[in-house]
Amino acid sequence: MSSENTEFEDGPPPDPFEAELVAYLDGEVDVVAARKVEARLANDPEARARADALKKSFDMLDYLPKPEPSPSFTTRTLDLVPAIKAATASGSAPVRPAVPRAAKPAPAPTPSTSMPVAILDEEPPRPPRRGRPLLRAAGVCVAVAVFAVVGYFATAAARPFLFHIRDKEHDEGKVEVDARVIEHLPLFAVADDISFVQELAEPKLFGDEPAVAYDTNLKIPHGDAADKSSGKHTEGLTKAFRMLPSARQAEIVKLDHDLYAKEPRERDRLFRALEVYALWLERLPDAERRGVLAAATPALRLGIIHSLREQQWMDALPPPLRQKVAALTNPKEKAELIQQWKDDEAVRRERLAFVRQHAEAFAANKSPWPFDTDAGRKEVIEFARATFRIDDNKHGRLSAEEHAEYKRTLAAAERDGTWVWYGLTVYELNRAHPYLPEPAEPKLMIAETTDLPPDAVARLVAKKVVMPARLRALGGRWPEFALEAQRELALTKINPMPQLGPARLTDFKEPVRACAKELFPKMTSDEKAALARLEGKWPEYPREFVKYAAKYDLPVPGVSLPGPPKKWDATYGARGTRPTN
Amino acid sequence: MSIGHTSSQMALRDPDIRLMLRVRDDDAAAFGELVERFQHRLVAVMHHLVGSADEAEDLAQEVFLRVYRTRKKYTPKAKFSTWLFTIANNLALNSLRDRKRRPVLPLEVRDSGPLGTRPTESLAPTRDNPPAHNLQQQELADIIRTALDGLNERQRMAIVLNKFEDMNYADIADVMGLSTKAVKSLLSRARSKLRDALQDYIYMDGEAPPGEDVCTETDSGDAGAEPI
Repeated sequence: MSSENTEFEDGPPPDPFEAELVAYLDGEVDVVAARKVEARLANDPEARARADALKKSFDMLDYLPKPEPSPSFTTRTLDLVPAIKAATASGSAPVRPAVPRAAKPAPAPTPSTSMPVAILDEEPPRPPRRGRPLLRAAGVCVAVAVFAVVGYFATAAARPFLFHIRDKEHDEGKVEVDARVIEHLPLFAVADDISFVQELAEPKLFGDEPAVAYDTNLKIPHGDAADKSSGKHTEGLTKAFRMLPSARQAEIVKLDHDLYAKEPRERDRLFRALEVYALWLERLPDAERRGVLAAATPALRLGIIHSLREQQWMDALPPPLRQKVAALTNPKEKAELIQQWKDDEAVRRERLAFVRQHAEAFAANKSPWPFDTDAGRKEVIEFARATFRIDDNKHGRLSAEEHAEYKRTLAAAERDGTWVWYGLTVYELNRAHPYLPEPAEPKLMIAETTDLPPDAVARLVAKKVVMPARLRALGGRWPEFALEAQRELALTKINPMPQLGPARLTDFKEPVRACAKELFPKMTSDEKAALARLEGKWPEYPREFVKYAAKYDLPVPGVSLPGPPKKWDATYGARGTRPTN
Repeated sequence: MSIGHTSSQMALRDPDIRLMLRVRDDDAAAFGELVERFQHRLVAVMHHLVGSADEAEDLAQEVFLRVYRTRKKYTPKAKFSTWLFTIANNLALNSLRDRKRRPVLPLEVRDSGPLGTRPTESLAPTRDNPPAHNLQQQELADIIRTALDGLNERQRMAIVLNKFEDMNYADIADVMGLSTKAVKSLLSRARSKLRDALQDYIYMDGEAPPGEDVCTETDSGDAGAEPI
């Protein structure tokens, strides 16, 4: 390359002092030259101002955002390598690998029609398409096709997706394709399988999108009542489907089958997630979209989607918050701060979802179940008083904050009729502090060191594992004290483990035994056997018992909130899918 | 900076060079590792150079592919990154020159590339319209970007290597195929231009740094005179 004539290309020779000054600022002058510059700077205010401006203008470059490669960069780059191999091997003129945009083997150049156009093999001679074995091997849909948008987002926009073009010789032996599959092809084409779709519907990807999470009023036409599209539309999609490799076709049919095997509500949710994902994908910049589609496995694809979503989340933060993140140099602190914001966001979102769910009740100023009757209210208040020991200042089971919140929401409900908030509070407290069936025999209600069986105490003392302070702090609280003692004792590997609470049906109080009479006939014989094996083990036995009761929608008296557990979940669980504690 | 044969042993201890030697010897995993290791630096340099994320990635990809294609010719002479950026320099300068030669037809819909209009550009204050110092970060970045775009491609390359790769003049000279003396004048002219372009935005000692909200003169005049 030409070299020494930069001076002439780039303009007149620089002012010699300026050149010295810049080199000096860059630490590129020897000691003698540095002295000279420093001497001039000391005596010449104008030179100082010049130096200052040179330095500061250069420092300003730090304000440029730090560009990062897109998450799919490596995958895409590696994808291109065999293409070069092929090109050099065949001795042909070297194919420009990362061709400038216009010539890129990319989606259809001008996907502007709203009608689906499947672009067939009569494309202009392409750069070696086979040079993308990763795509091919993964059976990821890659070809050039333009689809109309299906669904409630329906706009005139077309959706270019990458598809494998199926070899012509495989085009025989057509199978009948379900119209439903064809109808949803634009969605299925960008998904791998059912577990991929389920991952998409997780809150960390698209599950928290309004259309997925709570906007149940938006009906997605994906059922049998789907809008009938024009014949031409279907024809194009069918053609596109037939061009896919048969393995990929089978995958798509299976995905359809798996989706329709789900119960309607869940299917609806998954479809929504898939819609939102497809739309999101369509709006991604070309390079990033290709990165997602070209990932070698579903897991890698999900990884790429996740990091793109993370980046978008960060980019969407208000500038002051972004600056706050940028100001942190310690990556751990950075991650913690971000996590904290995300947690806050999740709480707000849950509350919002809850409000939406009860919007009608709020608007009508109606009290939700079970607060719609006096008896219902009394029963819940009584339940909370007993299980949380609300009135027991010394041995209450709630923290001071929780206690205050409980009192506040109850007072507000009694004063203003805001029972829905009270209900939510009680529901959440009950999840945070699960209770266990109390023993019929008072001496099995171990809540103080003196209640513990003597051998267990001796053991704890001998092993010095008793944290007297810790246990004492829980003193008087049941079942917390017993649970903690149990945990400590388990550490001593004591054998046999003393039973620290009611661990068989006969140990329970009468109302719980009555509940069991209702529960047992509903349980399978396997379940009954599994429960029986836990007899004598506390807290395992009562915990399992409560779990089975919840499974069969029976409230355990004194333990579960009064009323069917599933009704509580449906009314007060934000989405009914919240993780249990 | 080239190293003599006495230091070839040293070179072999350099993990980057060892990695490249594995690429040369067709170790399939090594190329992926190389891409992983250098993509951030390369994409960043390209981005600062061409101003568009897409184009930067294309160019960076092309650099990696050229590394792969010429892997058999690789001999460990200099720092690996110098070799890598030499390739990057050639490709980037060619691309930028091509761009100049062929004025772009606005066929592709691109609202943000270096070739399209930058929506933010219109926001940047001009010299006729001197700014207050209460510029937001994004605006400031746009102004700096415009200043950088005001340099010719070689000046920009030298500045970017110097600033973001922290390269000394000798390494820049190696990468750009120039003498260190030529690099010195190149950088000197580039820095003068940058200073001139950013003059209005440089905050002087005692003033608030850019990017922060600062009271305008009228505001500060009123400060303390708040009605009681």
